[in-house]
Amino acid sequence: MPLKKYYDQAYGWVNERIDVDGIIGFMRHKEVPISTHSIWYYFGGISLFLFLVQVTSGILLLMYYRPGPESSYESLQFLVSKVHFGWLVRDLHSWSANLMVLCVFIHMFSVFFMKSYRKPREMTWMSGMVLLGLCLGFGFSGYLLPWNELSFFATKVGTDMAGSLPAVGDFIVRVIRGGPDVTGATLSRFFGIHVAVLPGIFTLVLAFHLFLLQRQGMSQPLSWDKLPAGEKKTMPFFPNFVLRELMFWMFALAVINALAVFFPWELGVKADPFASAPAGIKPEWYFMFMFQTLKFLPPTIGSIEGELVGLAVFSLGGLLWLTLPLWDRWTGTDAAKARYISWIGVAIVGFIIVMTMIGYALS
Amino acid sequence: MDRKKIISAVALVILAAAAGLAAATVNNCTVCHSKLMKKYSTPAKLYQSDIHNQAGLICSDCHGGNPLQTVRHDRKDPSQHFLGAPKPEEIPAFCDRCHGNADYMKQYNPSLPVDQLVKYRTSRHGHLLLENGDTRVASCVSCHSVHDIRQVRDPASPVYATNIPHTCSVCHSDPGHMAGYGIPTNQYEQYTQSVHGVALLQRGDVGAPACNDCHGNHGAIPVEVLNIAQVCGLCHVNNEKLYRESFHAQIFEDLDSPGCETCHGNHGVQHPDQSMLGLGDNSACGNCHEKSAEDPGSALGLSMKNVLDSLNLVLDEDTRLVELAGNQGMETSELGFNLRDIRQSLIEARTTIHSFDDERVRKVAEPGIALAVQVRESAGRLLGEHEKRRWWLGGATLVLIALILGVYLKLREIESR
Repeated sequence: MPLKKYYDQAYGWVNERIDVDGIIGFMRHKEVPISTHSIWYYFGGISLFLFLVQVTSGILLLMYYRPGPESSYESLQFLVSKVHFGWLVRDLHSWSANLMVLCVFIHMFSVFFMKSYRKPREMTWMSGMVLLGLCLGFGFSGYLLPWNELSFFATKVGTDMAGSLPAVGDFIVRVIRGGPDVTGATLSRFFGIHVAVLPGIFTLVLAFHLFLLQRQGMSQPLSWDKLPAGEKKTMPFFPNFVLRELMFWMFALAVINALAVFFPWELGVKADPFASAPAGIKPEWYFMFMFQTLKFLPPTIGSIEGELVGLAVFSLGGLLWLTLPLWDRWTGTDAAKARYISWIGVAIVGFIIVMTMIGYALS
Repeated sequence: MDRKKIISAVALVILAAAAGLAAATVNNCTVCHSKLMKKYSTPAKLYQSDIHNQAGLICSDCHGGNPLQTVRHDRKDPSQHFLGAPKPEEIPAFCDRCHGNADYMKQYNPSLPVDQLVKYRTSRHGHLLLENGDTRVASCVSCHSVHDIRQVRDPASPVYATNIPHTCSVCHSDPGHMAGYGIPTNQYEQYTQSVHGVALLQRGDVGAPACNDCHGNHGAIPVEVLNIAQVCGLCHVNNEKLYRESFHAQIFEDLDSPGCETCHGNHGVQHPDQSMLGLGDNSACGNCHEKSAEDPGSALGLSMKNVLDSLNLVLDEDTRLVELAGNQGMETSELGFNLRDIRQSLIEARTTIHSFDDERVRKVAEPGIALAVQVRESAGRLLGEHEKRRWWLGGATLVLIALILGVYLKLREIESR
């Protein structure tokens, strides 16, 4: 069969130079645990796939998007109405961005509840947390880029929050916005951050995260600690796990396609900096729990501004969450103690879900 | 002069100045009146919120008398120049002492008119009060109130735009009060149901006309038959111009028929639409013409109605299609602008009916109808595009399902080895 012959020739040519067989051999020997929790192993991979969709669709968007108060909205309008499949590119980018944040959150909490952040995977957890932070940064900076009414005022409200910091608040707001107000200068720097700064940093951290994963392998479920070696079932990373992951990727692609067709993202009304803020201004859903919590706080707590107290608590919470592997040592192998940490996680998940739902119910 | 004498003299001067300043700011009128029975104490209390009080005027500036006096004033003592409360027929001139004096008023508000009394004399109220001595008619305080007078732009003022209809209705809707004047008392009720009344009173649109915008305020008079188009034309400029140029203007004048009012009514004017033309129940043409297609007047109305109906119909249909495409996620903002242009064309065509020239109406409507055809085609293309997207999705999903199935089978084959 000539096609097989050409393939073998090409493979042999590449293999001779970079030892592909060695790489495949390494992957074949890598084992992935099989347990009732196996499903959670796939969310990291799905997040990676959605990131690749982001990069691809983002590059296509760049070919038409022109940043600027007079061109951002118009260029997207042109893209979705005049360019063949322009609507699909924009909707895939928006939907995959949202689903990526969701998958990263699921991935993070699954790692948390499976206690996979423990030694020796402290750096994997922390690099993952940095990736989550970068994802949120992507979301925040990308939200403004269509320059529509909703994104304009949501960015105004979001950046205003930094202004409540004592002493440096005004300075930080000016740096973020490129001036005292959200203007074309803000749009320019958000664009630069979104398409150059964040992708560069993200790629490096992601490479480090994946490197650690390959070096350390998949973490084993906690229940395996007491299991005899003969009862620990595993599957080869390649091809078994990779093919399963591929099925999830294709399923994810089918889902974002359907979402793009049936629930397209509205372009909305072009931003008018001189208009008053419309009703129902809200941030992206993944910031909603923080936004709603800050709204519930009283104007002052003691003698300190309520919003500032809220931001301080969230910052402290974020720091504790980031350094979790460093201080969660006292539980050791004691399952009862480990359960305390799990309950804290359940409370956090419950808090995020409830506050997000309240936020949408009230907006 | 020794040092002690100089200090004593300076102290005396300071004390005298302080006493003088204190005396000048004392208003014993309010001090005493606040303690009297309600009839006399109410003015003192109300005056706290009065615009004249805010301008620094005190009771004696209008009523005369000596505010420094601490005992009961003597009305008959000419040295006190006490005027007391003016009689109803004296009120216009009483207020005019200041409000008719441009030199005096400019220190408070240079833009405030000073011709209120001049206008009032020309009004029906003024005639009846000043010439016939009829004290039941409105004078200054009837509308502006007394002792708690507020600026016209103050929403609490009885002559603030949204309060005027009610202020006028206090007298004009009271059959007992209006008995003998021979005018109806249902104007307020009609007005509140009218397009103007709904805009002003329900939507708070202060651009909508209240009573004074048609009848005048200080010079209030009934609108005469021949002046009606002129009064309505103050706002509806194009309608009036077209009407005056039309053959109807002369006919109505010959018939002593009020221009706009003949078709639209007066206080109860409703939002006009196409049904006012033609042969239907709501037809205004039928007020004078026979409701028959044979009648040239009704036939003309019907012809204009058909043009407007056509444009309205295509606008409704296009709006539905564009909304449908928008709801399906298609980009329709450009079509939204087109719909606005069609709507503008309809408004212009509706205005043009006041020319009573169906050809002219048709010409004005034509660009709108042509644009409507384009919008319909574009909306149809968008809906077709959306349909294509569904097919595309179906195809892509099938391919993906086939691939997933293929991978699954391969996986089973590998794991069964």
